[in-house]
Amino acid sequence: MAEIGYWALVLALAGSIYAAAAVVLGARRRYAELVVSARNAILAVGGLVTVAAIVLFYLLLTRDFSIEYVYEHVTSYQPTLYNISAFWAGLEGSQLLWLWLLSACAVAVALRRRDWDSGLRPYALAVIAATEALFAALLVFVTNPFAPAAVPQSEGFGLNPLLQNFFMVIHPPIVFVGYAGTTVPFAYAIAALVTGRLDRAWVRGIRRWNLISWIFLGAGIILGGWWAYLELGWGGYWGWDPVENAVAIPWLLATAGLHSAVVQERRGMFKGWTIALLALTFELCLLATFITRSGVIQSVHAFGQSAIGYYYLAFIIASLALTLGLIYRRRRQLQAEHELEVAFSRETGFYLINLLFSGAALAVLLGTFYSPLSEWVRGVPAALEATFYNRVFGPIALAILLVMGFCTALGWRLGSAEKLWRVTRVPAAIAGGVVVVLAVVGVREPIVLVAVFLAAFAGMTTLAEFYRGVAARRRSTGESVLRALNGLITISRRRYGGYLVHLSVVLIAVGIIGSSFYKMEQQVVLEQGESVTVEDYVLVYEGSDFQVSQEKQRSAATVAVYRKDRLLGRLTPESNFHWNIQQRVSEVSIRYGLMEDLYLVLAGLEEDGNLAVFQVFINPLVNWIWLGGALMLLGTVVAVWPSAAERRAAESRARAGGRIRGEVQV
Amino acid sequence: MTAALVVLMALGLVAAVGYPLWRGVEKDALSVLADELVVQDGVAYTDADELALDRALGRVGGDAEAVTMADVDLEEELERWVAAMRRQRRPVPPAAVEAAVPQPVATAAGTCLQCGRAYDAGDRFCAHCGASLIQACPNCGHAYEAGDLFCSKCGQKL
Repeated sequence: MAEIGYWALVLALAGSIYAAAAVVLGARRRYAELVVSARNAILAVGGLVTVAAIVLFYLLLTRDFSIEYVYEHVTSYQPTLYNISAFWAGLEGSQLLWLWLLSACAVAVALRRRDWDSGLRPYALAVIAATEALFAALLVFVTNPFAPAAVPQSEGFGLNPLLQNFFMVIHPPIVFVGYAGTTVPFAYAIAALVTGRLDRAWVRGIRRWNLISWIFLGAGIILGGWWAYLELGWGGYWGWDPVENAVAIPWLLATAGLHSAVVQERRGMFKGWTIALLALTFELCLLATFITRSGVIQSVHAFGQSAIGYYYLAFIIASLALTLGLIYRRRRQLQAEHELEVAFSRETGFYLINLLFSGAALAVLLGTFYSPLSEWVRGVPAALEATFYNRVFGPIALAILLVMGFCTALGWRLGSAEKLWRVTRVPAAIAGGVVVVLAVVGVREPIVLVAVFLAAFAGMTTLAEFYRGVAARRRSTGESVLRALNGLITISRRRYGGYLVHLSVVLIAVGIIGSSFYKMEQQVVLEQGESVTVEDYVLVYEGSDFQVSQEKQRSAATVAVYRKDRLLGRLTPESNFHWNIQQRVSEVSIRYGLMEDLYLVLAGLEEDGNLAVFQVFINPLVNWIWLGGALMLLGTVVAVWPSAAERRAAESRARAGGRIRGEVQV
Repeated sequence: MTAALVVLMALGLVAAVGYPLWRGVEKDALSVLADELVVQDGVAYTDADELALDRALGRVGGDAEAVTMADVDLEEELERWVAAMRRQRRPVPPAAVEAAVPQPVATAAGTCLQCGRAYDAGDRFCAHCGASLIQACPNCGHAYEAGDLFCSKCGQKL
């Protein structure tokens, strides 16, 4: 069975190399047969990779321990869900997952009804096929998931217990969808550079790919943070770990890229920026794999070390050189059609956004590579503390909030300070009011007050946009508020979807401010039946529970939580000794709340269960981050959904399609 | 069994790749022009909606608004003029339209190509020989000045 999977990958490798070469040749020589043949090869590669993926699923689910990968990640007693997620728990499987998703993207691009890109598509397909070839080659020659085990085994080692969590079941595929998705905008960027068709058509065409890969990367980051919050047991969700940074960097660049593409589409500016940002997003997704897999950077969860990272590095350098060369060749065409006219305009705001997000990405990138760079230059590795990132990233984040607040209020082209003042004075006054209320309540840290002001200001200017739009519609149509809001969003899904995403950023910012500045942590030692007061909670240690299974030794302690003599519920944190990794893994227990989470970690438990040590955290506003994530997803869905204008265009295309085609046969 | 399946997959790949080469395909697979028309179509629809919304919200900055409004007024004026001409069969443009239509003028001083005398910035005709100093591009109608070799708008050779 495993051989079928392996040979499917070998054939996929051959097919993608053929596709990459044939499609370029066909497009250059205007030899349509060759282009169609290459397109068919891409479809066939999609099928072959799917066969390989099905074979791996089959091997995992039938627990075929004669295969090394299955032996490493599956046991006969772990839940079936984790036997499925074992597919992407290891290096070999996640490579295959990436290739599988990439080939799905390739099939989607190849099968798209031809409407806007037949000049670009051959080259875009060539880039995607070449990337597929890289992954297929690595799978065939370096990280074969179908390799037999060195010694026949009767039982597997099993999944790392840290990865045995629902979020770790869905987090990797989501990130990989994001990674695979960024390949398509990159491929079209290269195609636009090669063909010299650098107008706005390609930017419009890849808008959805951009948004979808961006939201998957973002969702991956948020779910990863949630996983860390639930599983790592230190009360936080983000520690500037290299592996976390590895996903954050392409996401930051993709965010800049999205904004830059809007300006290119609307105003014909920032062409070079857009291309560079989209290309770098893709390169940094590859670099993320290099960081995670090469062992160059030590991390709490750098999953595996192998030489594979260096193949990525080679591919990154080669594709970066190609991109830079093409940008140099097309430098004249990449000049803006308009110059920035005045300081107070949306264009300026977008320009600042490009600078800020790229700057943030660069800072995180340098911070991440500080350790190997320092080892290389001075001979001693030195990792940077989280304080470095907070000091660098904090001010940039505040500046982003400020620009976000102003930019929404500004119009395109010519604005003025006076006009700006007219639209921002009410939001600024409300934000000021929020700050005054907080100061009266007792919040005194200047940085917190500044951050809250900026977040509230950005939130209010965005809400004001909705208000203004609804009011304008009601003036002209006299509709009800809800109907007007619905009509507004329907007419301009892109704009209002974007504003929803901006609101979600405000929620997330508030969550981050609250949970980083007002986190409370306390260690308590309790005898059975004893109680302790932590802020306004009363915690009573009620009893312990020990169980031994084939997988682990479970130690759990139950704590009743009271507030003002009212029982809120019981929390049961665990600390389990896992036989396979010979380590304790903590399972935290959380009482969720909109204003704060009570977060309990079992730090120690006597063998008779009489005495227990708890680490108690009170994390304010953490859930705003997850809620913000949900709103971000909603906003993106609104923005991606086809708009009325696009539907009208599609209809007129359908009516005129045949005629247009008939007329332009030249 | 395994070998047979692998061979089957390989044959499938070869068949998919070889079929178009063997049978040929329709020749319109590389027509770029139609795509461009379609793209412009979509752009026009989206831009119209966005502009309408921006205008409703007072968001079109600076003179952008003035320019578009003037264009619309001009078109209406021209429509009325054409209608009036049809009614009267009298090809005389009303003064209002003449004033509304921006008249091209020479932007810089130069030398008349006809007689070689100098003219001033702002002149439309040569003061000496009467030759027109401004002409319209045969391709796009954009005004060009005496001495230009290519249209500054569309690149047409003049």
